[in-house]
Amino acid sequence: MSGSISPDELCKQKNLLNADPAFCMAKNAVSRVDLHEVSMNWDKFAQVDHVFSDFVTPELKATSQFQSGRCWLFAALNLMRIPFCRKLKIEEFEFSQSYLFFYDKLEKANYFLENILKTSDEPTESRIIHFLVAGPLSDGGQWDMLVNIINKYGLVPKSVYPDSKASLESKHINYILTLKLREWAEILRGLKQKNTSALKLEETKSQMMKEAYRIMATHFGFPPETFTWSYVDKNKKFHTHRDLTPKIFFEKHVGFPLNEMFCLVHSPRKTTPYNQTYTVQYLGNVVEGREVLYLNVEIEEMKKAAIASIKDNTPVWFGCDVGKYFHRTVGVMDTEFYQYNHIYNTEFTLNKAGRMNYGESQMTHAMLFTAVHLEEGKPTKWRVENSWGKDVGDKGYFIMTDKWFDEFMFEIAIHKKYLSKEILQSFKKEPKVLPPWDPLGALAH
Amino acid sequence: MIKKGFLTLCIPLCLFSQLLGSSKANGEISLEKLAKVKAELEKDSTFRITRNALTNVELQHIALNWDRYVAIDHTFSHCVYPELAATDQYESGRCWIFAGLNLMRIPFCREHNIHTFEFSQSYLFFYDKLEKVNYFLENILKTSNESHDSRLVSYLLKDPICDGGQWDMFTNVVKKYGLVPKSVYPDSFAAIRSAPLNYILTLKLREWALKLRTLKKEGVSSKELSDVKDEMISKAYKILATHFGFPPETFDWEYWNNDGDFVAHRNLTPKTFFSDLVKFPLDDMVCLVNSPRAITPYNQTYVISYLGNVVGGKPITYLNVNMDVIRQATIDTIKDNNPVFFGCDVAKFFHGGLGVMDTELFEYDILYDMPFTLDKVSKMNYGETQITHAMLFTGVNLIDGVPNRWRVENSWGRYMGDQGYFVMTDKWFEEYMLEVVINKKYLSDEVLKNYQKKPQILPPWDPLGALAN
Repeated sequence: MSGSISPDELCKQKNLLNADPAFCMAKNAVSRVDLHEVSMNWDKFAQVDHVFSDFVTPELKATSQFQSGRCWLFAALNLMRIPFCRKLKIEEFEFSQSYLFFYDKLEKANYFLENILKTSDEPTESRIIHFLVAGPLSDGGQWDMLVNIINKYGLVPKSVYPDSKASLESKHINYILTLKLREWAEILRGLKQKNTSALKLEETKSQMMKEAYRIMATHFGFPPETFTWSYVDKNKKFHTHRDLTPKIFFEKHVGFPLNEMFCLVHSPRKTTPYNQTYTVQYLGNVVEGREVLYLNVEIEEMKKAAIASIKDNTPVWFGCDVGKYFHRTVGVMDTEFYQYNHIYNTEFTLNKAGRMNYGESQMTHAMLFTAVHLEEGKPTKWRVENSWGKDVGDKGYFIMTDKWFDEFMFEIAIHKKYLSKEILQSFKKEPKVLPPWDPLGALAH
Repeated sequence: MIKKGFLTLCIPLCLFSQLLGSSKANGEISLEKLAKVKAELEKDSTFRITRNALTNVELQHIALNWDRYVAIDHTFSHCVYPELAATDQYESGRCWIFAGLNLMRIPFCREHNIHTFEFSQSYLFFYDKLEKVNYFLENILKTSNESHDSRLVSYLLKDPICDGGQWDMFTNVVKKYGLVPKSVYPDSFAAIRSAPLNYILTLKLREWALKLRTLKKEGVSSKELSDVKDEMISKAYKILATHFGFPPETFDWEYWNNDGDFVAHRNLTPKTFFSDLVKFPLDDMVCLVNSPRAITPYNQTYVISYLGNVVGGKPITYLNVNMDVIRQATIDTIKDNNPVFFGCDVAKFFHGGLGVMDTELFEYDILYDMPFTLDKVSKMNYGETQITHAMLFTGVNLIDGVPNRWRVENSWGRYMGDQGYFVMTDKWFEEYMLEVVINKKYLSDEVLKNYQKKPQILPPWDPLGALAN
C-alpha cells in the first residue's frame, strides 16, 4: 500500500540507530526518567537569577488560584492591589477573586444562551454550534471581560467573600452548569425552531437564569451587597468604612482607571496585519458590556509600553502560552531551558506564526509583570507575579527571559499614558472580526 | 460582538419586556430580578442546607445517594473464568490497548493453563503511535487544498497523536505487528506517563504538517513529497525508540503452568507468537454501537472519515443497533465464558474509589431542586457524551434472564472498586454504553447481514469518532 509504513525499512533504520552512541545514551536516559529532567540545560539553570534592575513596589505575597482557571482574575486583582496598598499604606491585601468568579460565570451562562438564540438557524453539528457547546462555561477569561464584570458589579475585599470549595476546585460546578447549559441550549433551539413567541422565549430563558443563579449561590453563597471594611495600616492606625457597596468600594477606595486601559496583542500571522484592531466573534461575558478589543503591534512596541509602565511603578497584566519551555518549581520561562534538539538530534523549527496557525500556541495563562532587567536600556529578563502559591519559583515570582517574551507572549493590558499617539490613533480603527476559534480568542485560565 | 445581527432579535423582546415591565430589553441579566430570586432563596431552608454543605465539601460527597451506596454488590450470577489480576495503564490513554489485550489474555491463560499473564501494552502503543504519525501525514497531504483554519485541518492538527484508540485500530496494529509478552517489552517512562512524549511528537507533527502543506502548494513532485515524508517517519521512529527502546523482533517465551510443568517456546517472532500461541479470531469480531440519534438510523453501518492508524488497514466500521441487541450479544458471550470489549462514557455518575457506575448514584436533582433532562440522543448532539474509555465485561447478574448489573474489568490498578473490578448498573449501561465488540457467532444472521451494508461516512468530529483513552 502506497503511503504505508514498511517494516523492512524500519529494520534498516534500527540497525543504523543502534550504532549511534548519542542515540543509545539518550534512549537509556529518556526511557527511565522524565524528558524534561533529562533535557534540562544545566548552564541555564545555573544562570537563574531573581534580581532585577527596575521593579515595582511594594512586592506583595503571591496568591494562589488553586485548582481553578481564575488566573485572569487573580492577575487583574493583583494588578490593582499594588497601587491600592501603596495608597492606603497597607502591608497585605487581597480582593475577592470569588466575587468576580461568581458574576463572571453567571454572565457567561446568560451570554451563552444569547449566543444559542442567535445561532438557532445553524445545524446542531455545525462548527459554530459545536464550538459553543464544547466549553460554554470555562473558568478562563480575557481583560475586557474582567472590565465588564467590575464595571457592572464592583469589587469586594476577600475578607467579606472568601473562597468556597468551588473556588478552590471548580470542576464539579462546571460539570453541573455545563450539563444544564447544554440542556437549555437544546430547549431554546427547539423553541426557536418552532417559532415560539419572543415573550415565551424570554420567559423560558429567564427561568433558566434563575436556576443558574441558584446553582451558583449553592456553591458560593450569595455575594455581599453591603459590607463593612476595616483594616490596620502600616502605621498601626485603625480604619473602618461602613455601609460600603461593591460599586462604592471600587469607585471610592480602589479607583483603578479600568476604562483607560488598552489591550495590545502580538500576532505575526499574515491574516492579522499589524496596527489593526481585532475583536473575536461570540467571545465575551456581559451581554451589554464592551466587546473584546485588541490592537496588533510589533513585539518591540509591546515591550516599550511594558517597560514604561514598570518604570512608572505600575505592574502590567499580560497573557502568554505558559506551558512551553517552562519549569514550574524553578519558576523559569526560558526558550533555551530544555535541549530537546540534543536529545533527538533534530531541530524544532516552527516559528511563532506557524505555531499559531497549526494549533501549537495560544494564550493559556495571565500573570503580572512586576519588574524588568535592563542592560543599556534593553530588556534581558522580566519578573512575573504568578498566582500558583508561594512555593514555586522565587516565593511565587517567576523569571521570563526576553527571548521567551518574543516567542510566547501574546498580550498586555496597558494604561493609555504609556502608549504613543500613533498607537492610540490605531485603536480608533474599525476592528476586524476573528472567528471564535482563532488563537486570539483563547481564554487565559 | 456583532451588535448589528443582534438587534433584529432584540426588537420583539423590547416590546414584550415593556409590557412585562421587568426584564432588560437586550437579553442582559437584570439585577432587580436577581435580587428577587435571592430574597426567595434565602428563606428556603433546603437551599440553605445545601449551600452550607457545598461551599465547604466536594459536590460528589454531598450528592452521593446513601441507598445506592448500600446497594453496591460485587456478586454476579454469571462470571467469566479465570479472573486475572487487574492491570494498570497509569498516566496514559492506553485503555483500549489494555482492554483489547485483557480480552485476549483470558482465553490465552485458559489455553496455556496459566493463572497470571500480561501482553506488552507498550509494544502496541509504540507501533500505534508510529502508524498514527504516518496516518496523520497522509491526511495532511490529502487535505492540502483546505485552509489551515478550516474545520477539517484544525481538527486534524488539534490532537494528532493522542493515546486513545478504537477496536479496529487495535486490530490493525496487532495484525501488522503481532504481539509480545510484557516480560520482553516492559513499560518505559513514556508508557507510564505519556504527556512529555506526546508534547514532542505533536510539536514535530505540526511542524511537518506546515512543511508538507507548503511543499504541496509549491507543486513539488510526488516523488519528492514521498521522500520528505519518509524522512519524517524515520525521525518519528527515532523519537519513539528514544522513549521506548526498540520493540523485539525475536524472543523466547518460557513459563511454569498451573500443573507445575515448565514450558518453553523459542525463536518466536511477534507475528508467530500471535498466530501460533494466541490465535485470537480478530477477523470474526464485529463492532456494534448504540447511537439513537435521528441522523444515524439503526441497522446501518458507519465509518469515520480521517480516523485510523494503519494506512491501508481496516477502516473503523460500526453497525448501529438498538440497546437490546447489544445487551443480548453481551449476555450470550459472557454465558459462553468469554469477556466483552466495550466503549462507554466513563466519567458520568461514576465513583472511582467505589468502582461504581450507577445513574442514581448522585442526586443532583434533589440537591439543586431541579431536574436534569438531557437524554442520550441530546447528550450526543450537544457534546455532553461520547466514548471516553474502553474496558471489559467479565460478568453479569441475571434475574429471570434479565440483567440488573454488570461486572467490569478496568485497567486502573487493583486499588479501586473490587480489586480493580467495577460494577455497572443496567440503567447506566442503557445511558452511557456506546459500543461493544462481539464475535460473529453470538450475532443473528440479520445483524450479520446488516454488517455487510455499505457504510455511511461520518465526519471525524462525530461523537462516534471519539477515541477511548
